[in-house]
Amino acid sequence: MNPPSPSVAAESVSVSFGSRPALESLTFELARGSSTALVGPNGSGKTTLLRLLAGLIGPTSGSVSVTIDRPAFVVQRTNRRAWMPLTAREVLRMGRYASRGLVRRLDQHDHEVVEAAAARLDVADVVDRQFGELSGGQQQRVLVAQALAHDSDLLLLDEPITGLDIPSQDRILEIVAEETARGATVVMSTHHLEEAQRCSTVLLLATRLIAVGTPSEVLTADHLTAAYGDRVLSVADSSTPVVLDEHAHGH
Amino acid sequence: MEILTDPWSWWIEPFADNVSMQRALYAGLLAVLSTSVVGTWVVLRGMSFLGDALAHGVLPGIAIAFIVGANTTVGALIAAAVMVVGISVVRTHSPLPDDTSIGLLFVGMLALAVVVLSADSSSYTGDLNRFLFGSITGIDRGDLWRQGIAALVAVAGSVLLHRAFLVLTFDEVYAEVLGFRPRLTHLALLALVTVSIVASFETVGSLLVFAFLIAPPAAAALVVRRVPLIMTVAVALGAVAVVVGLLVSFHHDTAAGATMALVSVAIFTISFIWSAVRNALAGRRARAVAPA
Repeated sequence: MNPPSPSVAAESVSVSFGSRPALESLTFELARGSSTALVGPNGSGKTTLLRLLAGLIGPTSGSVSVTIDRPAFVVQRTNRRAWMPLTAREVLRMGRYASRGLVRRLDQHDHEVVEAAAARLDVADVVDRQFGELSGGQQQRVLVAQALAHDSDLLLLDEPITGLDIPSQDRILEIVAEETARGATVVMSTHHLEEAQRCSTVLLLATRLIAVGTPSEVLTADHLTAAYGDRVLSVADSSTPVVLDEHAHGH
Repeated sequence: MEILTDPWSWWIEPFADNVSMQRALYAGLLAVLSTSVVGTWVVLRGMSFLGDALAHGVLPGIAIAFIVGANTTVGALIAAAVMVVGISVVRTHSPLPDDTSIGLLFVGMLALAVVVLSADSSSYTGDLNRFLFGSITGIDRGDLWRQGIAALVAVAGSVLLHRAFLVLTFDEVYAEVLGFRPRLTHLALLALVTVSIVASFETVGSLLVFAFLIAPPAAAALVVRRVPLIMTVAVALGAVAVVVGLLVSFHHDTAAGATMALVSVAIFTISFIWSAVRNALAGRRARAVAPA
């Protein structure tokens, strides 16, 4: 049996903003139906890599090929206007604009996709409420449902569970598992090593690629020290090192 | 209190046989239609200061066109383009915050208009006054046509680009993900703002244009919570401001443009108090239902 063709292939990809390198010479492939955790300290290029895969920025050098059209991308929950008059249902429907464009009417199928996505994220009962009045966990679940409404086979998530309540975290991680089970490719950035261990692939970044492979191959003390420097603690009675984390950052 | 005791002669008669009052009414209503619809996005996107700067920044274009005998609408459009390009150049090539670049262009353009109009032995002072405060009683058919077309462009543009403006206001990065080109969308919005400002400018004046761009949508946003509803309510509130403002101005001989602007801000104040009281009552009810 041939291995499944990769949905993402990067070849010596670098991205710079002005003179500042954000990603340096990354080469990797992500298999169709895989779930990948992007791990690394703040400023290591996780968001840049997601933006690159989403097609929002291009590489400064090297090449990246994404074989799936129109990936869905859940951006970090920071830059929205909370008081904007908008129901959660209107936010969900935006997901269908990906295929309907600026003016084509949403039809029965679109509405069914939206309702199904809301049900999967347990937000069906809040869709008529103002988006800005929902809790952080509810808002994030609406945004993940919005991404599901794109009906894309590549799902990109930027720190989807950071700072959320436990039920919301669990639901979103279950969705990641369900999506890969149906053959979609999921890439998400995370600060949680436990969450990374639930993925099939881990990509450890520190501007350059430290390691890529299965969680047990990548999340070793040596690799983590290379990425995080002296913020790694080796715990004697555990096989998993602990990273002194700086999550809950506000950018 | 004629307003209540003799409603016919207070409310209706001034418009009955008075062509200039009728034209003022139509001009005001057309101005409200375009400014309230486009102004809803200006308020929701938090670009009121930019709207204000544009409303006043077109003055030198009008002034120069007026003096050299060119088309003032074209002059205003050129001035608006200079403003938009100038603001974005300062924004991208300096670390200064947005409102500084907007403010600099704003004051520079306003000063230029005053200097230009005052240069020729102050013979244009009356015209400056007209550009600032409008001359709604001196409106001709051509003005009405221009405003009608502008209202059509503003409403059609807002309908066609509704999704683009909605997503842009919600989250610019997400607009990019959907392929909606946020920068282009922003420029399209500025173009619609410019069209509605420029078309209404000479008749109702820059003060009133700006009041109508901001006050009715802001008042509406406090009482209803869906974008199309906000636009509808804003147009209705703006229409009330036009009618009441014109009548007050007619009966008490006040400046028409300023009176309409004042009424529209008064309507905002009423809406603000109403929503504040409603929220306070809702909060008290919620506490009574769910004791901590």
